[in-house]
Amino acid sequence: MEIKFKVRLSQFVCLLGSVLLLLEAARQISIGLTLTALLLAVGGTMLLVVSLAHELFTLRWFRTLVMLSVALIMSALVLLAPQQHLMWLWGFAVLLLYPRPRWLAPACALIGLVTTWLALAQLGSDWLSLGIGITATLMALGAIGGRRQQQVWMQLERRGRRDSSRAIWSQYQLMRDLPREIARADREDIHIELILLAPVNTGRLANRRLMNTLDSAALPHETRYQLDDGALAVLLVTRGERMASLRRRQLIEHLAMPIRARVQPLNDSDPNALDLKRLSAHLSDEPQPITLLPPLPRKPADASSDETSTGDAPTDHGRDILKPASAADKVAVAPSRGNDH
Amino acid sequence: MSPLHSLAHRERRELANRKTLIMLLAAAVIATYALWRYLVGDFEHILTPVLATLLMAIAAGLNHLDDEQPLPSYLTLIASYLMLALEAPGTYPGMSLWLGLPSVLTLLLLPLAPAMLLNLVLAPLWLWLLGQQEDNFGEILRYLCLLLVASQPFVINSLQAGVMSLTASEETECNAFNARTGQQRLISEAARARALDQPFSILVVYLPQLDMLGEQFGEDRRVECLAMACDVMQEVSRQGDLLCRSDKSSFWLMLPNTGEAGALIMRERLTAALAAATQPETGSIIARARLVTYKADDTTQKLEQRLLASQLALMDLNE
Repeated sequence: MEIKFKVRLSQFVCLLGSVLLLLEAARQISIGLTLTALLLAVGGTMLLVVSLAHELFTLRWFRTLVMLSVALIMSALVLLAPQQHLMWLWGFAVLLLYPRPRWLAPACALIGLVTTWLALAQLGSDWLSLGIGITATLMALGAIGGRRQQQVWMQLERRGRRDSSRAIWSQYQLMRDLPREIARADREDIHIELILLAPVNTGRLANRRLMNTLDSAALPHETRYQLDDGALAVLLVTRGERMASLRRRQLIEHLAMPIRARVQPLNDSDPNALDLKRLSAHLSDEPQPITLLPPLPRKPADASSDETSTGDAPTDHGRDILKPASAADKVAVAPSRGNDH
Repeated sequence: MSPLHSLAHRERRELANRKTLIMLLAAAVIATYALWRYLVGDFEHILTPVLATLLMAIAAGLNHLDDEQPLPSYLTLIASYLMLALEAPGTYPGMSLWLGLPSVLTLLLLPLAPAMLLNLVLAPLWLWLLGQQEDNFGEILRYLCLLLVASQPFVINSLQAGVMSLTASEETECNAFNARTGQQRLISEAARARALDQPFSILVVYLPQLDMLGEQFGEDRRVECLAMACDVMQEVSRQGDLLCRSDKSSFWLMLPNTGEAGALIMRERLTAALAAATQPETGSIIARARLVTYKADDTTQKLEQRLLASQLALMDLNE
């Protein structure tokens, strides 16, 4: 909710900026049609598009295009009408806050420095050096901000959840959970499998609907993941393989929409051998609703022995104490089954 | 501390050092300006640059000591505002060269919200001091355009930072899940225990030292101790166990498929291992732990309430 509000706010700021730019452009055109007025109009229209279609900004080429044209328009304004627009000179530093792709920030910095040079050169060398110095300082500050933002992006790729309000986890989290879950299932002698799901009718809307229905169809312990390419995955844990196939069918019936599923059994397998990209490729083109995949290669022998003997002696000893105790306790707990939703 | 955390920490430190360097360079430039005024014999204009140099130097020093505080940024801003307000007007007749500088600088130095507020409040002042006398309406319009366009990247960036903090699953200070993730994992673990007929225990661990540590030895020591405690707890627990930080100094260690007896043994081992982990200044880590077991007729809310109750009881015991 909070983030939706913030998105609206940022759209509003962008919209306000574009409206003011268009207003200034209209005012200048009313005085006389000049190139700067046209440039202002182009810039304003671009901001208007960005503010109305915020989602476009996630496209790489669109983002690059916008950033580059903002830099060029600012440069042109400063050089064509310094009487009015010289203050845009300081705006170049801000463009460095968005260093993606990698070459964009240096390109913007270069455009900014060249513009400063051209704009201030005719005023004498002291003005020129002062202007270049201040611009460079601002750009250095902007570059620091950009580096900070790069860290944020790095963390965004490693974030655990895809959605702030729901328990839908990311591919990063899946890759972190898998070794743990597989080891646990093997130890407890429980069946574990990964189900990849995709709607037959591809498209954003169908995907969203599937996500929503899956949210209510899956039990709380059937962890849901959304992979980086948008496919959905469920980690299914049951007492046996027969139960798994039953539950699988029940789950897919509950979804009540034509979907395709690939099932990857995971017991006693090496999580590193799992290629999620290959697994989710062309999923909606499968002829059968459910495709059972062959089991993955087993864990390499040295790795599995390594896992049981990692750490020092007391840790291992403790594991041995823990297991029988918990197994003995199993008897004391009365069996029950239900759904707490 | 895990390598990822320490990497982020080092990177942040490096960026702070660079910012200090920039501040020092700016201070040197203003000092040169003051010297030039002195050599020219223009003693009327010497007070402002000297004052600004002093402020910048203090800001650089403070920034080197602690990069989290906003004070150095404000000092830098005050110095730049002084220079701009007292030196810049009249130096560039006919064009409003300096008009955009204060607002962009504010945006670059301060967090978004205070920067925007300051820019809006000071806008009339800058327009009056640095703007041209004629064509006033157009200038106001252009200034506002610059302000809004320049703030756009900051708005986008703060939006992304917001998304990140809402969707992060791990703590930034130590190797554990955060409270939100812990809650969701608790629901799924309880459901799993119910579905598979397994026992499920949770150890509520409270580290009473952490609260005091920050005040006595500083934040760095506190984070160090926290990270070390988490590492010890992760090492003691099995691969399937989940450690999450539910509070500033409380943790939930979820032990799936572990009954009361196993969990009690685990508690002993945990407190012993934490007591054995010593740090040079603070000594061994004291931990208090309580056991909460999942009962077959528990709803998740009930379980969570019991967890919170025992967490509070542990804190009360300390006082």
